This record gives sequence, C-alpha cells and structure tokens, in this order.
Amino acid sequence: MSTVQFTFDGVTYHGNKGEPLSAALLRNGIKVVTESSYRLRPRGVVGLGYEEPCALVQIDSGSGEPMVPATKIELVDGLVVRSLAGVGDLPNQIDKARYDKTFRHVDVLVIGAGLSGLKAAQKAANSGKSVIILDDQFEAGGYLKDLNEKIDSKILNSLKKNNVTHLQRTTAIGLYDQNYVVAIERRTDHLSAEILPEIARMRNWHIRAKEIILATGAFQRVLVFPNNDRPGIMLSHAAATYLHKYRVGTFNSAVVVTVDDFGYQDAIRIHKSGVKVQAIIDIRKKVTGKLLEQVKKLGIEVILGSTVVNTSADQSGSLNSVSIAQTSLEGEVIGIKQEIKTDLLAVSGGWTPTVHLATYLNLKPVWDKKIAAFVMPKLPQNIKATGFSNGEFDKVTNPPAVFFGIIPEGEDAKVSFIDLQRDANVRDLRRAVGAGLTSVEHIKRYTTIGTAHDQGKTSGTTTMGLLGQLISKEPHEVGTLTFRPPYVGVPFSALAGRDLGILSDPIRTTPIHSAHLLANAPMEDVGQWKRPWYFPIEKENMHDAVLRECKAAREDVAVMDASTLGKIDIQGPDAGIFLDRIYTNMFSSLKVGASRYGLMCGVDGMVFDDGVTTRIAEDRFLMTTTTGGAAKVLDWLEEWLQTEWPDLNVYCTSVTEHWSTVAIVGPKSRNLLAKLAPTLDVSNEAFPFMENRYAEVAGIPARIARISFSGELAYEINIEAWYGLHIWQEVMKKGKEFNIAAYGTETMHVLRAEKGFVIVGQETDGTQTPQDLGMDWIVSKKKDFIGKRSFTRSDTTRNGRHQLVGLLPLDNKTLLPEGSYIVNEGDSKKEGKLTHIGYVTSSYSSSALSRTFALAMVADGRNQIGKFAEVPIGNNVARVEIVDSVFLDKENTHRDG
Amino acid sequence: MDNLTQNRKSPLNNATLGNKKNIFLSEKPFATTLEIRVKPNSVTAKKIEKVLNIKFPNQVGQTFKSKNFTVLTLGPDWWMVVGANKHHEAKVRAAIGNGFASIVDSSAQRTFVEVSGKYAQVVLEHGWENDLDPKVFKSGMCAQAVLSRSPVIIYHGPIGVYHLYVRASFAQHLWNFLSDAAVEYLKK
Repeated sequence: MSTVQFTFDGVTYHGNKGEPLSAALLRNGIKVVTESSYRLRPRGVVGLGYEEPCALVQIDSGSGEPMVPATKIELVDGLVVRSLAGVGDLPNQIDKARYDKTFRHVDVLVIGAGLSGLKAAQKAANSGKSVIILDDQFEAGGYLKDLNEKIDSKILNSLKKNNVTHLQRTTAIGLYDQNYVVAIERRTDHLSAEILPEIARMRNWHIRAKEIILATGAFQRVLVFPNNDRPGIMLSHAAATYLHKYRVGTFNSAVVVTVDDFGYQDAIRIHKSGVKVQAIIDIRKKVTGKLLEQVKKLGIEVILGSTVVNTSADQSGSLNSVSIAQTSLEGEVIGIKQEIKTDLLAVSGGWTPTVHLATYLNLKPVWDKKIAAFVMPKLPQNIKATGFSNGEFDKVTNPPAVFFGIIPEGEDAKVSFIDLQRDANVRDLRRAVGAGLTSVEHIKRYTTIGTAHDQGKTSGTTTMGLLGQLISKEPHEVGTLTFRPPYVGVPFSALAGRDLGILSDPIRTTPIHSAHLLANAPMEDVGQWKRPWYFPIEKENMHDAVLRECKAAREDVAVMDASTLGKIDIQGPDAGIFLDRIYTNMFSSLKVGASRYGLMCGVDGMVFDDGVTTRIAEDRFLMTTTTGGAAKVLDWLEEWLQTEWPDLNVYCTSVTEHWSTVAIVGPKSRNLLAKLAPTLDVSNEAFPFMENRYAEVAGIPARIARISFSGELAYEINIEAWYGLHIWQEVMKKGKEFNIAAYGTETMHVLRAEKGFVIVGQETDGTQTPQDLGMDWIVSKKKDFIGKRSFTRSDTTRNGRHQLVGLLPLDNKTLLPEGSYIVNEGDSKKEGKLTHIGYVTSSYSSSALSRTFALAMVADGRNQIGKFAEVPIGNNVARVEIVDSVFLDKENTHRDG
Repeated sequence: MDNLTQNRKSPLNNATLGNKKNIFLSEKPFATTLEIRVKPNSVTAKKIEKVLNIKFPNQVGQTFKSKNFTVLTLGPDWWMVVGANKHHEAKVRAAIGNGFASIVDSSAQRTFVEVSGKYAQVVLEHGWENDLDPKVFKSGMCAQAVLSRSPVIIYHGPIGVYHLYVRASFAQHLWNFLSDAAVEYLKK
C-alpha cells in the first residue's frame, strides 16, 4: 500500500492509495466533514458505502463531480475534494473525459460480488453458461472483505478461467422488464485524479440476461434518539471496519448500541483494533450464546433492555458522551439516565436487505419479523436472490429486536433525526401523523424523508418502523419499501456515453458536400441533412448572396444540389394503381418516360408530402419525396401495402442515396445542358417539359428530367451517387461562360415562393387540405385515394378556412417575420384582444420583383384578395395588401426558356 | 482507367483506421448490390435463383454465399445480392419476363465498412444493441438495425470480421462513431 496526497477543503493530507476517502479523513482526525443542509449541524462519516447519508463531498480534480459520498471515493494521488452541504456545483468547464456505452447479452448476470454472488457466478460458469458478475465496491468480497477475510482464490480463478466478465466499481442502477439491466462502471477515477484521454471514464452497460441473480447485500440501519447525528456516531459495521481494516486510530474509546447480534461482532472488531469498548447497550432483555461469552471475556460490559437516549458534543460538535437508559420496545424511556464519556458510538440498528432492483419491477418487499427487515418478495422465475439481500443473515443466535429508536417529544424531537441528509426528524414525523397521514408514501412526501441523494437507504425501514411504533402498527402495516432507478446518482455524461457533440445525432451529407464546404457555404439543417444555405462570394452577406443567386436563376443559369430529395423505386404490375390511391392525382395514365407532380394526403385529407414521380417503365416508377419526408413516406407506402392492400403486386425500395441530383435552372440551362451532354437533342420540341431523357453527361450515364421548381427552364441531372461530385464540378466548369451561380436552400425557397409553389412543412403543418392551398386542380374527382373521404367532412368544406394567399408590404421593403400574425386593417391600434385572421408562412426579398413579398394562410383568403391588412411587428405595424399567391410569370412563359 | 472509374468517389474516400492486430476499420468502396424483392419460393424467385446461380435463404438473417455473390436475407421477401450489378439486373429482368419481382441496383445507396481485429466485436458492442456473441450471431449471418442512429446492415464474414453496409449519407457519421469507439483499443 502506498501513501498518497490529497486535498480536502484546501488542506493537504496523506492517506493510503485505494482506501475510501472517508477512512483517510477519519485517520487524519477529520470527524466533522460537513454541515447539514438545512440545520447546519456538524456532520461526519456514518457509513461505508452508498448508504452514506452525511459525508458528501464535491470533487474538483479530474472531471469534477458534485455530491459524491466520501465512502465511495477511492483515494488517488492528487485528489482534490471539498466538503459539501446539500447542494453540489456542476463543474463549469467542459468535461474532457470520455464516456461510453456497451451492449451485452448473457445467460446469467450476477449483481453483487460478495461470497454468495461469487459462488453463484462460479456455479453458472461451471455449467457452461455465459456470465457477467458486477459489483459496486472497489474489490470483490462484499461483507467478508470488510471483515478482512480473504475470498478463496479458487473462486476468482475459476471465474477468470471460464471467461466470466467480472466488473468491480460497477453499479446496477436499473432493472427493467425482460431482465434488462443498466449499470454504470467507474473505470478511471481510481487510477488517476487526472482525466485519462484514451479511456472511457465511465461505461454505461446495457445488459440483457436470461437469468439474474441478485446478490446485492444489505445496509445497516441507524437508530433514532435525540442528537443521533453527531460526528462520531456511526453505523457499527462501518465503525468496526474503519478501525479494524483501515486502521483508523482516531477514537479513544467506544460504546456500541445495538438491536441485534451484529453489534457484538462489531464490538469485538473494535476491541481488536485497540480501541476500548466500554459497553454494549442492547435493547433486548435477554441474550445468550457464544458472542455474549466472547465479549464478556474481553471485559466489555453488556447493558440489556436499554438504549441510547441522548448524546452530547465537544466544541467542534463531535460526540463526547452518550446517555443511556432502560427503554421499552415501544421506545418509552423507563429507567434513569446514565452518562458514558466516549468519542465513538457504533450503532447497530439492524440490517435492511438491498431490495431496490426488485422494487423497480414493482415488486413489493415483504416484512420478515424474524430478522426485523423487509425482504425480497416472490421473484419472477428468471430472477433469484441470494445471501444478505435474500435475508440470509448467518451467525445469528438471538433474533434481532424490532426496534427503531425512541420517539421523543418537544425540543428533543427536533434533533432526533430519521433522514440525516434531509434533516428530517421525529417532529416532522409527528406532524405528518398529526395531520392525519398514515401511509408511508404520503409521509415521505410530507417530511421529505428518503428524497435525498441516498434515497433513504438507511432511513426507509426506520421510517416505517417508527411510524408503526407511533401508531401501534407493525412496519408492514404502514407500507413497504419502494425505490426508483437510478440506484445511485449518475452523471448525465455517463448516460449520454459518446452521444455528444457531432455524435449526438447523425449529420447526413450528399456526395457533393465537400464542394459546398470548399465554397464556404453556410449550412442549413434540413432534418438530419446539412444542405448549403447560400453560397457567398467573398464577404457577401446572406441577403446580397440570395439576391444574386436568384438573379442568376432568372436571367442566366444557377445550379443546386438536390441530392437530398427522398427517392423510392416502386415496381410491380400494380404500381400505377397503387400510386393512384396514394396520390390525390392520377398516375396510372402517365406515359413511360414522363414525370408528374403529385400530392399525398393523410386519411384526414391533410397534405402529407409531395414530389415529382417518374414512370421509368410500364411497371416501374421512381417517386421523389421531400427531403425530410423520405423515411416516413416509405413507411407509409409499406404500411398500406402490407396491411390494407396485400393484394397489390407492388414492392418499394429506397434509393435516396443511390442517386445524386444536380438541378440546373434558368434561361441558359438548355445551352449548358447542350454543352454537358453533346449527344442529347435539348430542343424544346425534342425534350419537352416533364419528360425524361437518358444520355451521358460529362461522360457519365444520366437520367435528365425536365422539371422546374422555380418556373424557369430547368433540368435535373440524376447520376449514380458516386459521380455526384464529378458532375457538380463539371457543371460549374462548363457553366462559367453562362455566368453560372451555385445556389442553396434559401434561393430555392425564394424562387418557388415567387411562383407560389408551396413547401410541405413550410406552408403546411398537417392541418391544410390541398384546397386550402389553392390546389383543387390536383385533386382527382374521378378516382378514390387516401384522404378523399375527408374532403366531404363539414370541417374541410366550411367557409372561412385559412387559404394560401400572397402578401405585399405596402412600403415594398418591410420583410415580414415568418410566423407573424395578420389582423384586419385598423385592428392593430385597438386595445385588448385582436382577432387574427391568419399568419405569414414564408417571407423574402425578391430580386425579380424588386421588393419584399410573403406567402400567408388567411381566413377565407381567396375572397380577401385586393383587401388590406396589418401585420404587427414588435411596436410597429406593417400594412400589407392581400394578393394572389403567384407573383411572377402567371402564364408560365419562362418554363420553356 | 476509364472515365467512370476515374471520376467516381466513394463516401469515405477509401478511409482506413487502426491496426490489423487490435482493431482495423476500412472502407471497401464501390461494392455493387442488387436489392431483390420477390415472393419467396415463387416461380419468379426460382428463376432469379437459377439465372444468378444462388439460393434465397428463407430465414431473415441467413445468408448464401457463392463464388461471385453473397446473398443477405433482409426481410421475408427481401434480399440483397452483394456482388451483383446493373448487368446482372438486366439478366434477371430478361429471365423473369412478366414475373412479379422488384430488382433494384442499389450499389451507391450504401458503402461498406469492414471492421476486423481482436477487438472488432467489442468495438461494435459499444453501439450495436443485438447480441454479437459469435455463438449467437454466427459467422455467415446478417442483421439489420441502427448503429449510432444510422441504418446499417451487418454481415458477419469470417469469425470476428464484420461488414457494415451503411447508407451513404450516414457513412461519415458512422465512421466518426466507430473511430471514437476504437480509440481505447488501438494500443492495447
């Protein structure tokens, strides 16, 4: 064992590497570790593990961590901690440590590596099963390890030989249906106080096990009496382990107060460590057996039928004496008080099996009077419990007393603590009972008992016991233990694993992405895709860049990466019929080689997605969807095919990423295409609107579609995605002589808005019918399709629905914020609530119109055309004219170039 | 090199990472794939099997390997034939005539990352939620799920060698994830 340095509250101390910080603090004479959250009373170390209710610290070295029990920090050189009262600080620097997750499936998962857990793991492994054993302590051995007893090395060796995954410092924080366990492994804090850059600091294990063995041990309980919170009052198992195993020599003498035989064992260990045990105070009236003889032989006085009824402290607040008196099992003090000077009171208040994981499955622990504890209920077939957690407390001669402490009144009640972290005390419990509460679930919420970081590990059973004593009921008559995951506090970073920063969500990119980055195009997030927003030249701002890009598309030629559009290859003899049912308009009549724009609705008749679909062959269509809608449209198609129309011979396959699409747009796009595809007859007669042609473009086989989302002459060049970048580069090169400009999503939006084309998700939010959007022309009257029935509903046919219109701000230059609401002319000056008649869906500056314009949804909009309205913007009001939603080239003369 | 070979670019640009002993990631670019959907055991399915000289396994997750092709069963009526390309598509179409099947060249839809080395399984377990124990996910099996939220088809080649077919637009994200998961094992 090597000596290391650590800092506590700014002072440097020494301790042994690998021991709990709590042991090192005690050995350095630090009995007062912190003060309590609400009452500011001095508090010290009480326990040995996660049950610790008081000695919380904030770790400032390494990644930093708030609210960690000093009992669970393994001492390493350079550790920096400070005492903490109640609320921790989140470290304010970014945590540079790694965190990860791992997923495993095993035959048997053993939780707890005490002797019974190890034996269970050994047995399972020997029978050829795959096994994980995990344990939240620094080393295997559980209770026996605290007693300094060695675990048979044969067991550990056989685990190793059988490839058992053995994880220490790993806490199962949750148990869920189907034997699904989540556990947190702490992997580096014991190696170094610094962050280790290449090793995950914590690992979040997700384990599915055919069988789970709970060997989670038990926690010792506190007893309740006035001033039971003073530093120097500890659980007897913890006290004996600090003194005996960790050689903490801070205390001069000890008193043990107990309700069971464990107090005697711990008294013997304390005595062996060299600290004189003055007396064992046992609430039981009669005790026999070997342990009693042993302690008597050591000269330890045993006082029966009594318990501790008060304590006093020195100037620092640490314990310096205890008062004891004869007391009944109901907690009534009947004898005369007697004082014993001591600086250590070891409390053995009984043991509570750690049933947390079972209660996460909504199983209710049952009261076992024989061992004075709630124990595991009947477990599901594939979960077993063993050892202490199953209530198997061995070496017990005399049954424990069902006794939880005394229940004083008045001032004493206020200092008789039940939940030490919450400072919740007997007075709180009395008030809860006085208010008429009898269920422990209500009392927990009224008193805050069990709501601190430790979730009542030491106070849960005690509360029920005391409550029972107060209202003359057995503990199980007032409730049972209910815990919720996580079992211990877990940093969010451990739950996130490596899903942080760029890995928090996929960033989807097209094959042309690298060219957009080279062009310094700012990106817009479209679903998970990154799409270039605009392509600034030198220091151009967005406004100027978009005006320039629009101008190029309207007067020369502009190019856009349209690869993100969803693409679905639909094949089968019934493909045409299928599309007739999916889209509001007809597709079975489409001729091979032609494309058609289609709109699809949900069963509610509301617009769901849109796109252009091309008939590739008699029984084959290529559907395009919106960028964000690709996955949901494919799901939609599959749902109808698989559940409603299995008789249709149609299959769908996603080809979104197989094809890359480069759109060239503008009056000069035909000339550019002629250069790119010299073998292709690009004349308007040979290659009309909404037709497709196959040709080599820059040497690559391509399908060229003459479709337009801007109203201009335009082509979409579709190539296998491997060639996307090459085609983009060739288009840019060959387009130079035509003053080509690359454009992004913003210009695309402006160009289509000038033509009044809607974008699903921009003009729509799932509450618009095609008719609302002025698209009755696309709704077939002849055939049936999804959503058709809903167009006869009273709500879809009523007058006054919001309809798509255009808005022109009267001053030509006000850019209406998207989402602004619209009110009747004159209304914005009115006091009180305004009637809003609609809202702005899209709003841009237009190069072609030399002004700003907007699209909007306005109540009874088409009948409002020609009227004026107002749009409040902050403290100002913009006056607008309501106009038709098509602003440019109503006669579609640009389309053919 | 012809014009096509010269001008194509794979999503990960032939990336590699790590070392062969512990963990090695490498993109195997330009693998060709045909996605076939056809009613299992139908006359049309049999015709396709015959012309490609393959068998369609009946169980999702099972695969069939021939000299030229690896057939992955992705759904009850859905197979991906790795190694088959556009020319095979034409051959299959000719063979089935009016038979009902969907034949899709999906070669550029995904790229393929090979994960190998002593820690291949361990690295994948950092994100793959299904059981990768070689006794369960045996050599020669395939599965489809998401890995770090990216759609991935996984094929267990020789024991401890995994082929991940990832949608091209997610390839860089998956690569970032795998590279990060591999860090701890590079120098072991």
